[in-house]
Order: sequence, then structure tokens, then C-alpha cells
Amino acid sequence: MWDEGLQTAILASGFGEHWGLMQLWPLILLPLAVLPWVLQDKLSFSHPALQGLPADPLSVWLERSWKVAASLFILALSMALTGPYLKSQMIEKVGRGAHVMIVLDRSASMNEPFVKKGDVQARLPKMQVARNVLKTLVQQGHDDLMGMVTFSTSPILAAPLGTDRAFVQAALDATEAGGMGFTAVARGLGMALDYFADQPVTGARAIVLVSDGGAHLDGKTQDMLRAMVMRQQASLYWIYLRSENGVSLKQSLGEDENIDAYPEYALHEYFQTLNVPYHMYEAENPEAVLAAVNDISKLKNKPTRYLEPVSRQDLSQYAYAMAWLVTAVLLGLTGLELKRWQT
Amino acid sequence: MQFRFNAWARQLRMLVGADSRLNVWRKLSLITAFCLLTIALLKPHAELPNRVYDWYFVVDITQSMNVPDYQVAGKSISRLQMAKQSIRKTLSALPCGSQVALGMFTERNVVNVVEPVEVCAHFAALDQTVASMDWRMAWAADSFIAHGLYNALEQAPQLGKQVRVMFFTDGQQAPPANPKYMPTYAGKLGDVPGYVVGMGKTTPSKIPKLDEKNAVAGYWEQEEVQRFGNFGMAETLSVLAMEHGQHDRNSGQGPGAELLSNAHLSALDEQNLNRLANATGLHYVRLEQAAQSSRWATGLGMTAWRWADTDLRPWLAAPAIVCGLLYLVLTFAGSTWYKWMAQRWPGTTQAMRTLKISSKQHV
Repeated sequence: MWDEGLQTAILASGFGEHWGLMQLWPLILLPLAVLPWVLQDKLSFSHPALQGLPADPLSVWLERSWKVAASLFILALSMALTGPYLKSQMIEKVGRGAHVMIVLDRSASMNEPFVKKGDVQARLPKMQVARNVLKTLVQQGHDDLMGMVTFSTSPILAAPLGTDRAFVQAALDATEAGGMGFTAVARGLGMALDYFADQPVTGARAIVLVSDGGAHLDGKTQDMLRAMVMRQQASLYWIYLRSENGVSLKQSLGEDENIDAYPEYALHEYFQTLNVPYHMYEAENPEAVLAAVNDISKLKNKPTRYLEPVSRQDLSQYAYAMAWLVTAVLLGLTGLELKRWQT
Repeated sequence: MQFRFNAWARQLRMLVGADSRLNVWRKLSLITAFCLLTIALLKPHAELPNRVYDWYFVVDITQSMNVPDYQVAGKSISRLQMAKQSIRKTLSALPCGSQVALGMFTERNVVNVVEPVEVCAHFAALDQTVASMDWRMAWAADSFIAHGLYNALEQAPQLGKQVRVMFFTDGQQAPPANPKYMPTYAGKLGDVPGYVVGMGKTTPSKIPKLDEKNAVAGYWEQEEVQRFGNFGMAETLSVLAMEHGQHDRNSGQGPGAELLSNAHLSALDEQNLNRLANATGLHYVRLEQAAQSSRWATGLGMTAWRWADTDLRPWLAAPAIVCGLLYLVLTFAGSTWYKWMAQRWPGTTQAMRTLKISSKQHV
């Protein structure tokens, strides 16, 4: 029965759920707080007739406050030693700068180099080039909120939209081309756009698509994506990592060419009809991509407030402050003690 | 030296006033406590060797993890949600300085979503990334647990020297595999410590088919799942043996193969996971409550000692509380309680008696 009662009490208090203690052993010190109340007979001077002395209300109150202070001292310090903390708190932060979602292609073709011939420097896999470029992008915009989605057949959220740059870097380090050959551009973009959905439009929002090829989007997907982009008012930057034998998007196709044979080109045409700012950077070599990075880092935004979860909020400093305060009180009271009879 | 000590003692005497020895000690202990707490208020911290934990959390995101066979507060939640919840709980239980990497498993390999990052500074991002893990992120529908687990264990040493692996899975192998063609663990037994965490119940349940909006659209039927148990070379090549009922090559579709007729159901396959755990030197554990994993993650044998930022306040608070207690005890040095103690243990109270005698002399 006791067990049950205790368990309900613990559940009701939210222990483990909303708050916790780092150490449990200091709790055994708590009972010591009764010591000032149960112990009798302080150091005293002998007096022939206590009845003869007048009652002194001030002294009685000083005595009581001394006991309270001594109790609090033990309580506060043992609580401080347990290290109480609140779990999963939200703290308010102010963000400036643009909101940038990176959408990175992780499909197998990203393993191929830009050109098949040439020295090792020139034959860097496209993935590595993209990674290096994005790293410079992540390092540059200091106030921007950034996040990253990677996709091959399906999108994966690698880093949520936030100020945590080091996390985006770590997610970038972890990316390697894999998965299947499919390039589900629409799903990747959709997931990235979803991250803007919970936040008010405060200024520049950018989607940075880094991919080496297009994908055919059917009419339904096209309409859905168009609606999403319009609603979120995000501008689109496409860093197109063009392979050696890939089609250039800058020249228009010849009359006799079938557009369906060039999904990149179809995608490029589609993006142009989105009615949002759209920039395409064609990167045949690593240097050309830096232009895109520079453009994106120029985006600015109004300051926005947003909530961010923190792992734990330490509460022990209040206990330490309390202990310090009562020690000061105890020191003061000890100083008031009589050292000898005064007449 | 002697002179300096005397001068120091004189100064101290001026501080506490001309007093009995007992009172001097009393005040000294209180002053010491006060000084210690004053330092504690400045939040001292230093780089000290610290107990931290480096974890690589890998979550199986195949569709069998969508089976809602966990009950939390009267609601059934899926294995995947449970795994995510327990990782998020573990994240807040890990001490600062610990490092966490995240990965997801489907088909035959594990995708490393993020390299190890410090858990306190990057809590928000880690927490949100775990929360966003979803079965829709799967890039293929197969689930070869052995391949995935070995892949995760291969990745772990590249992520960090002391990285441990916690692999959340229900052990559901889909499609059923031919044991002759399963990989063997190439690493050394127990090289990477960690846990294989079994999710779900051992009683089979139907696997829900979820649509793009995560609503249940139906359940996988027996006809829809791949049930070819055996592929590759058959051991029996003799027609005679086949005629006598031995048909290993086609036994997958043969009648009576119970495992295969239940391939559309999913249950926690403890036998498989135990075998894998033994082969790799990991511990097999079964998750029943979300909070359990944080205990495993901070358990013995999983510790990685590293220089990390350490709060020094407890090291100041502990002597401060001792000083405070000393102050209290000395305050009541004249009490009946003290006399009772003196009767019981004359030896231990000897020191106090001498203090008291001297104090009486002063009074």
C-alpha cells in the first residue's frame, strides 16, 4: 500500500518526467534539518535566578530565526547537492537573418566526379564538392537559421531549422552518397518547406537545392509543390552540379529535342513558373558554386522570436544562493551572541 | 615560520574576537562554510576527467516498427514512437560532455544522419532530429537485421574511439532469409560494446499499412508479402530425394512452412536478436518502458572517461555542510545530548570535553 501511495505521489509530482535529480544520496542529509529544533541547551552562562530576569521577546525571536536559518542551511545545501533540474524546457530565443533550408541530393550519382578525366583534384566526387561548398555556406551566414534535408528515394531530416551551426556541420560530415539511384526532388523539397510551415513569415526564406540531376514531376506533384512554395513564400536556389555529359540549363533546347529526355531541363522550366524568386547556379567546377553561396549569405531578415528546447535547466543555483544567504544570517546572529554577562 | 603562524593566529583572533576556544572553532567553521558557499556562487567549473557516454543510436524504421503494440497511459503507440521516446529520454539523461550520433536502418544498411555531437550544446537539434524520424524516410522496404547491425558496428569505430551502439529493432526479418546466405560478423567479438534493444511484444500482430499522412490504410496480407525463404543453390540435387519429399529449394513456398505463412505478421524475434547479440558481443535487452534505455545508456561498462567541463560546486558544498554540522554540534556542546554521548563513548568526546573545559574557564 505504501509503495502504491509513493508511486502515485512520484507520478503526480512529475519526477523523472518534468524534473529530476542528478544524485539521490544527499537526500539522506535532509532529516538533519530537525537538529536545531530537537537539540536543547545551548552554551549558556550560569545564573543564580533566571526567574529574576525580565522576559526578552526580541531574544526569543532571534532564537527562533536562528533555528530556522540553521534548518534552512542544511535543507538548502542537501538540495543543492542533489542537483535538481527541469527537463526539456523551452527557452525563448531571438533569431535574425534568413531561414535557409538546404536540400541535398544523396542519390548514387553524386558519387561520380564532375569529369572523368584529369588529375585527382579535378576528379573529386560531386558529393564532396557539394559538401565543401555547403560547409562554406554554413560557416558564412552568422545570423541565419539553417537546416538540412537529404534525399534519395525518400527525404531524411538531417538537421532541423535552427541556429545550431555545428549540428548542420556534423550532419554534413555524415552525408555520403548512398541509397538508390532515384532522385525524389519533390519529396525533399516538400519536407524542407514543411519546416517553414510552423513559423510566421518574417522575411527571407530560402530553399537551397543541391543536386546533380532532375526528376520528372507529374502534374499533381507539380501543383502541390507550387501551392506549398507559394504559401511559404520561399525563394529557391538550385545549385545544379552538372556532370560532364549533362545538359546545360543555360542554353535553350533545340527545336528537335524532346524535353522529356532531359528531366533537369524540365525541372528548370517548372521552377521558373513557380512565381517565387528562383536562381539557378550551374556548377561545372567547384569554384562556380561559390557565387551561389555569396548570394544566399546576403539574404536578410527581421528579428524573430522562437522557442528552442534545452536539455535541462539547472535549479541548484537557487539552493546555493539560499544556503549562502542563511549562512550570512547565521554569521550575523552568532555575532550578536553575548560573550560574557553584561550589566 | 613559527612567527608567521603566530601572526596569522593573532589576526584570526581579532576576527572572531577574544573568545573561548570552543567559540573560536564554532565561528571558524561557520566562516569557512560562508567562504566556501561564496566561491560556489561564482559557479566554478573546470576541465576534469569525467564520466561521459558516447552513443550511436540506430533506429529501425522499417514498416514492422509501425506495429502499435506498446501501451502507454491507455493509448497504444507504435514501436517506432516508443524507440524515439526512449532515445529522447536518454538524451536528457546523458551527462554534459557525452556525444551522440544518430542513424537509421532499413534494407541492409544504416544511414548515419549526424556525426557525434555534444549532447547538451546540441540538445535542441538532436531532440528534433530524433522526433522527426519516420518510417517514410525509409529508402527501401526490406529489413535484413543482421546486415544492418553489422553495418552499424562497422560505422561505430569511424565515428569515435569510444562510441557504443544502441540498436532499436524488433528483429523482424523481411523477407525471410536463407540462413546459409547470411553474413558473419567480421569484427572482433565485443569490440564495440552496446545494446540490441528488442522492441514490441512476442505475440505476432498485423503490420499496418500507413498512407502518406500516417493514417492506417489497411494491413499487410499474407498474399502481399514476399515469402521465398530459400534462394541460391539447393543442397539436394538428386531427383530421387526431391521425390521423397525433400525439396529445400522450393521449401519456401512449400506447405507447412510456418514461419513463412506468418511472414505478414510481426512479433519481437527475441531468438534472432539474442543470436545476433551473441555473435557481436552486444547485450540483448527488451524495452518495456521508455525510461529503461537511459539506465542502460548510463550503465556500468558503457562509460567513456574524457576531459570534460565539470561543475565544482558539489565539491565546495560537501565541506560546507560538514562545517555547518560542526557549527551546530559545537553550539549544543553543553546539552544533555552531549552528556549522553559522553557517557556512551567517553573516548570520542574527549576532544570536545577539553574544548568545553577551556570554554568554562573563559566564562
